[in-house]
Amino acid sequence: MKATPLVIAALGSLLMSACVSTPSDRAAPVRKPEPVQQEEVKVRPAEETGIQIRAYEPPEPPPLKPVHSRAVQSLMDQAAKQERQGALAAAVVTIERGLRIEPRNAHLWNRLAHLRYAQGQRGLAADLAAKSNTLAGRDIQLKRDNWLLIADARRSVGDIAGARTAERKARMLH
Amino acid sequence: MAKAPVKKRRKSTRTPKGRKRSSRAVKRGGRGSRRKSTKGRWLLRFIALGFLFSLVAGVYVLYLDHQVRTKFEGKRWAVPARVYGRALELYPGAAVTPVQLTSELKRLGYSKVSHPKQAASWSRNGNRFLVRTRPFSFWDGKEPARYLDFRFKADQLSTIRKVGGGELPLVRLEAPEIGSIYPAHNEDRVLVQRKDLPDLLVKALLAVEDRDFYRHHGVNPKAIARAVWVNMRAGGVVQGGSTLTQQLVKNFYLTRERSLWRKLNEAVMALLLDAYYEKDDILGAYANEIYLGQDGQRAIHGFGLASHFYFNRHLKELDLPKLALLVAMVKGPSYYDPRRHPERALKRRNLVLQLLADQGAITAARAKKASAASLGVTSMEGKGRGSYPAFMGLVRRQLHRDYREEDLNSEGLRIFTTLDPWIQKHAEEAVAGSLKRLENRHKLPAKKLEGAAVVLDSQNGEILGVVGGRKSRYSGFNRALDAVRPVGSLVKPAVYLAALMDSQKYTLISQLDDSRFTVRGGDGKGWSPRNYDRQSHGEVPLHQALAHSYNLSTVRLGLDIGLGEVLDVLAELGISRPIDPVPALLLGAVSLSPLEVAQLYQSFAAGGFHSPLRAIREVQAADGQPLQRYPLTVHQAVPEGPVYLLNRNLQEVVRSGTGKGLSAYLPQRFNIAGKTGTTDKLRDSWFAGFSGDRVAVVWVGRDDNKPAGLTGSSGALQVWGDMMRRMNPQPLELIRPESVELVWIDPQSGLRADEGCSEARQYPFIVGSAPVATSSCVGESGGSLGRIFRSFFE
Repeated sequence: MKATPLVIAALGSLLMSACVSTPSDRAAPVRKPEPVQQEEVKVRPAEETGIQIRAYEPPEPPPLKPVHSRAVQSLMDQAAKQERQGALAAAVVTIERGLRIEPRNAHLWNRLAHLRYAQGQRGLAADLAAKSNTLAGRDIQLKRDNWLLIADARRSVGDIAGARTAERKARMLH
Repeated sequence: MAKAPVKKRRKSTRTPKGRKRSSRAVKRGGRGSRRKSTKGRWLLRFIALGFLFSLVAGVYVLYLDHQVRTKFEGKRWAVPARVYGRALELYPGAAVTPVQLTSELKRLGYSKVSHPKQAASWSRNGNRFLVRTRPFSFWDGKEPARYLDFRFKADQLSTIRKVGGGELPLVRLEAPEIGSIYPAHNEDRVLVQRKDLPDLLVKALLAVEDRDFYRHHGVNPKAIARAVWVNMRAGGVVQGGSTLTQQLVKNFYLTRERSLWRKLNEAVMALLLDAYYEKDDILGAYANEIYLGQDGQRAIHGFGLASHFYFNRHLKELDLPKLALLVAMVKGPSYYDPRRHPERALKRRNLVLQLLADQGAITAARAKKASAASLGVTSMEGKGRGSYPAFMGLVRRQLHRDYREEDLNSEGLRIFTTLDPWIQKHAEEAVAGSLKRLENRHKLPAKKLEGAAVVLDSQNGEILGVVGGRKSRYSGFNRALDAVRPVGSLVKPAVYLAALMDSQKYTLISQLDDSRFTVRGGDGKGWSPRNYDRQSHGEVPLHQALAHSYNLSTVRLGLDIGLGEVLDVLAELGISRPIDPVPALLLGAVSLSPLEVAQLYQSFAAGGFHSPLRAIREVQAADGQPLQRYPLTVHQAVPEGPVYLLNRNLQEVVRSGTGKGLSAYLPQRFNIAGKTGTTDKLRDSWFAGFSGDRVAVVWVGRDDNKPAGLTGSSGALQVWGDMMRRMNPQPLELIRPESVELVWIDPQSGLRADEGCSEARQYPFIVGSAPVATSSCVGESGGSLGRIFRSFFE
């Protein structure tokens, strides 16, 4: 097993991405991609191992805040609250309700994927994240978050190669 | 007036007093039936006989006593599971029209008034609706009662406000009740507690049926005497002397037989019941037990259910004239049926009101005003319950996997389903209307065509509507679930998908051979498929072969990729039925139900993600405790790239292939994807397809399996188009996956081109699978006209 510090760092931040998304929601109610953005910042330097390279990169565009209808936004807020209270099953119901209103909202699929992951349903989480990806269009942050979640899910069932592939997909998005 | 002895409801101890008293009653009766004798030596024998008789009677009373108590205290009412449809979600921008909102409010039994003051009422002023909602307990929480202000703009909901409050982002109305699962003996019931019985209902009931209820001991000799007197004078049965307790006993324990023996039993049991239980318990039981009407097989028991059945409202929401009507019907629910005999019912209702006034329960003025009111019963049509046999059949099947029948029909479960009554209504109307039109247009024998339809949400697999036949309100053969018919060309997309998954070998522009041939089956017999037009089309591009549903090229293609591959794709996409791996399967020698076909096409519509179709979302216990969920799940069954190519091809079917007749119903901008299916001798006519939001499958054929005389496009497509048009669908906008690129192709040569080539079209390819060689036209013209986007099927 090649446990390079790089992999460990990436893995650590990935695991955090699953667990930490809750507290970060607390700070900023329900702008879903923000946790994604945070992870992404953590992951990038670790993988690209150097401040120099980063210095020459064009500045990151300001994160696009997803535009949700007020109906969906209210459900996302509600789900975040339920999640904070540990009521994951209730949050799932709320997100599913959102999906009935906007079945093609990639962010909702992404939230559902995270909730299922947190509930230990890793396979379903990966499928939901993949579904989110097919609807994400050019929302790179969201896609990256989905791929990282898929990587986590694969790794958790011992699919190391699959996890690496997913991580590569996440990195290659631009 | 003697007050009844202090009574307490006891679970297991016996009240000696009650028993004693009642056996005395029987003895008295026994003594009366004997003839007196003056001879002394007979006296002893009579005493012995009398003793024996009272012993037998005593034992019998003990038996009745046991019956009364076990039944009353045991499972008194089996409360059927209530089944609800989807709740209508309302939010700014929702594609809900004022017509649809009106229809939903009606369905929920909300009454239209000029100014809503009570719960469950509403008013409309142009594009503005004021609605007072009822509270409703959903699986995931309670929705409070609110006073809401809805405004529409251009047939769309634009804002929702709380009256006197701020804007609301989202509101869901209560879930409409669509049915109940009642026991085999066909008793349905909505349980009402004694404390929830409206005061006026109780007053009216006592005034009419049993004035001395709170004073007698279960039977009322005074009332009996009065009844006998009245009946004698009238020369027939005009008035009954039964107390409410006796009526309850009759309903509760005894058969409908009319005999003196039964009357006697009834009296004894009434006395026992009265001795054991509080008056209010008896009244509560009566209110839930009383028979108040018949709905086909279903018996309407209790005021709670009757209120829904006749008025589509909760009992506590009924006004005086409606309460009086319910009481009026007690005497003879069939004779005074307000739907069939409105004059009789009205007359008797007003009699009840008069009695109430006579006894001082209401003022004469109020009685007069109430007597002027209309009966206010809803029409049977569109009354929710019992109206969705096909969908309910599906719900039952799904429930029976997880619940025992007796739990379903007795525990008062609340079942939340996916049925959208609005969609369902349109589907039913489209099937019935279109079949009739088809028979006329094609001069087919009348009323022979049958049909079935299934409508789904395209992304999550929820079943929104099921039509099991032409007469959708009658339960019977549920064709949507049980008509397992050959699907014909509906299977072809699975063949083409299997091919497109091998992108190195097959693209949308691969040339297929559409010439005649014979294939030898395992039994050595030859099979020579033919095209529908009996022609061979030579070399055709793959996408055209599907668009025009060519058989020869499809069989060749399927045999080339292998029957096993095709079967694998079908299995991955959710077809679990075993299928014979014979070449004829490639042309649809596969029998499936419309529901199974819907499952297959849902996977296409969802971009290759399989979601098991669901009719139920949640199950809640009677007390509101959440029991079970049937959650949304997805599984990526096939890669999204090939499915995208297939779906583009299915759009071509509708735009320029066998499905182009759909443009008569839905303009091209809807970009519908779909496929026709026709079987041998025109026995089955199919259409399956999807818009941006819904998947629908329609089958048309005959129950006797004789030729229906319709192809997929002349039959089922017409029904599908009519149905979808009514439902106000969203256009299908396919999102191109990363794995797919668009490449300009010169259709003549099949070579890479650019937008400058006049005939070039853009085709989607799995990345890396497009042709490399360029056509000679490239670079010929700088092409100002070439900037126009030209899709391959335009």
